[in-house]
Amino acid sequence: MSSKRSNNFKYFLLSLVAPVGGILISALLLFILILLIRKGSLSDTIQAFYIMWKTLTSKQDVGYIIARSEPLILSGIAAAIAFRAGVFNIGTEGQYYIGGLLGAVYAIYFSFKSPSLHWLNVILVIVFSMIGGALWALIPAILKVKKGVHEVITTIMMNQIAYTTAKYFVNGPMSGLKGGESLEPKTMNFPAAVDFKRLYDIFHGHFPFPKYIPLYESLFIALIVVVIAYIVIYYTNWGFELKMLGTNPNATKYSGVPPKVVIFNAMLWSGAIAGIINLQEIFGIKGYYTHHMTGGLGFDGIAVALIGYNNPIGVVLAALLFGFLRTAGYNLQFELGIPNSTMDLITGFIIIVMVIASVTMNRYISKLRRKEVLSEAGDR
Amino acid sequence: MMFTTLWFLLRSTIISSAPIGYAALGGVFNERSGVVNIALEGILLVSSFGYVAGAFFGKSAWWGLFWGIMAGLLLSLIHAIATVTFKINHIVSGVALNTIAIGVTRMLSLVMFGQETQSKTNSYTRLFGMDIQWLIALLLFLVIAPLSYWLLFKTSLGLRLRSVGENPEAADSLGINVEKMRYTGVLIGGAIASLGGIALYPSIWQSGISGGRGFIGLASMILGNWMPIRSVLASTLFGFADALRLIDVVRKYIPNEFLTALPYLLVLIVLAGLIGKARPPRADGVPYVRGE
Repeated sequence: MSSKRSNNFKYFLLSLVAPVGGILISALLLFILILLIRKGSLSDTIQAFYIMWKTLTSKQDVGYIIARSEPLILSGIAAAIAFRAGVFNIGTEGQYYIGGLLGAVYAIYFSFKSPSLHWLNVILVIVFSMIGGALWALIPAILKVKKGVHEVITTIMMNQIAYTTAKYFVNGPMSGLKGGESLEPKTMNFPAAVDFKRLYDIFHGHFPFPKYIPLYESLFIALIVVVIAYIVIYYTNWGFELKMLGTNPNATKYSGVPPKVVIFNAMLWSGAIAGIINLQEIFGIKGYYTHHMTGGLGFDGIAVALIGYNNPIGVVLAALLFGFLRTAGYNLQFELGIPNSTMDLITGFIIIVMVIASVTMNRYISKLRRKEVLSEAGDR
Repeated sequence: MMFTTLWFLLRSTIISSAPIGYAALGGVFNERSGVVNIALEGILLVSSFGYVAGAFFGKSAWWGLFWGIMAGLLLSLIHAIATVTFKINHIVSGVALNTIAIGVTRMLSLVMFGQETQSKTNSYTRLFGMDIQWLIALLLFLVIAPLSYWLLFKTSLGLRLRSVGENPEAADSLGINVEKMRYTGVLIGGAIASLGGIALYPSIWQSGISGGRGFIGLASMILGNWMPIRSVLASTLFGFADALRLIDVVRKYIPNEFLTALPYLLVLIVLAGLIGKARPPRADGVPYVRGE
């Protein structure tokens, strides 16, 4: 019995090899890259790593890390839900453009102007944005279950259409530019009652809460989504059906669960969560909508989900890692002139190394397990 | 007057189609051998940077050509190692490589040209006395596309390449080295797609210059039903929509955004089965592990 427990511990340690090894190998690559960029100066390279360490100890930087991780958490959860059902939702990219657009439509045309109804506005913005994201996932979902068309290609098409659609509304019907006020295309400004900035004031007014943590409405929403996703994935039937479909589609066929229904729901919920990815930037920072917002958050979320093993807690950790890399990258550029795009390179590299390592380790672990089972059978 | 407009439209269509068409052809070689490659977008980006940097520092279009193709091949090689040797998910590797492509080009641009978002202007853009963008664009339609058809459908290499994409078990049992064939497909496809990056804009590189054309190339490939010549012809649809936007009369009456979105809508309609039927190679994107 005790040998079995020690075996389980061994498997736990083995499962850590991929993430830890991936980060170590990537740190080594970063070291070499910086050494090359700084033309072989070892002291500069060591200073670069010290600057990265300092990012973690500065309160202001910790605030930036959290703010940069927030959209990635949502984006990672959205991708993870689809992945769990064995579906690739590359379309989170377009879904957050449309989600934000529909949220903006609510804010500009339908929102309550009275400040006392702020919270109702927040909830309705979220509902509109989720509907927008889900709508954009609807066509790929229908084509997938009705016609068997691969979702990667349809969602890529939808991404391109999403961007053009957003551009059309920003420059056309919803344009907030009157006679060349600014070169940046944008919609009309939102009324003050929908600003996502209230929670921060409430918390800092009444609680001894650290000021550098950007606890805006959007961060709060992201945390709620993480908790709900965790409960749904691990403690409900639907979560189990997702897992079954993603890991063993054949078993699903015989268990009476219609795979098409599960896939369809997974894509729509993935899209709905994708719809709220960028509310922080649109409603918390800008106060208007524009197609010139931070792009690529959808693709980043796919990476976050992969590195976090499609587990909501893992997604939070991976998103924080990305937020850290990006913030550290800005500091490196500012203090040492090392391009922060080096961090993009490292991010891509981490994904490949970690996925290769985890695929290889899984194969090794299942080989060990098979041996173990065989030897147990032999003992009897 | 009419004639000049038509000639302008034709020339712009050919030039705008070329990067998409090359990416589509690259996709055909990848997917016919059973490897899905969404890193085509990244290949366009690194090869366009490779051309500009190679020509600028080597002071010759030939060096540009060399480094452009090298950059694309290198990215393809990583994709092949990750998906064929280590058998990781093809989309995952593609997403990671696209991120790497963005990072590496911006980083090198800052180190080599002192600016992260664009390179210095490269004046070595002529080959055999012709503008290289025009030359490579014509090359696609007149030489590379027919040649690809011949290679895939009239040679034994092509037959083997397609067999590992359709039925790797059967190919393996006939003594074809599946992994080697898939490497061949990914690398030939990568080299062809690199030409697309070179045809993109040889005089200057800018961050984000590929602008989703790699993805559109994949769409053209599907529209062309994974056939070389049809895929290239499908890319002209996107190129034509692009060229139309340059014409004043059209711009006046049709919203720009509608023209941009039209080809993508068309792809969705085709995929929905309203026009024709798309059929990918059977083992497309499926890792091959012996004895499973």
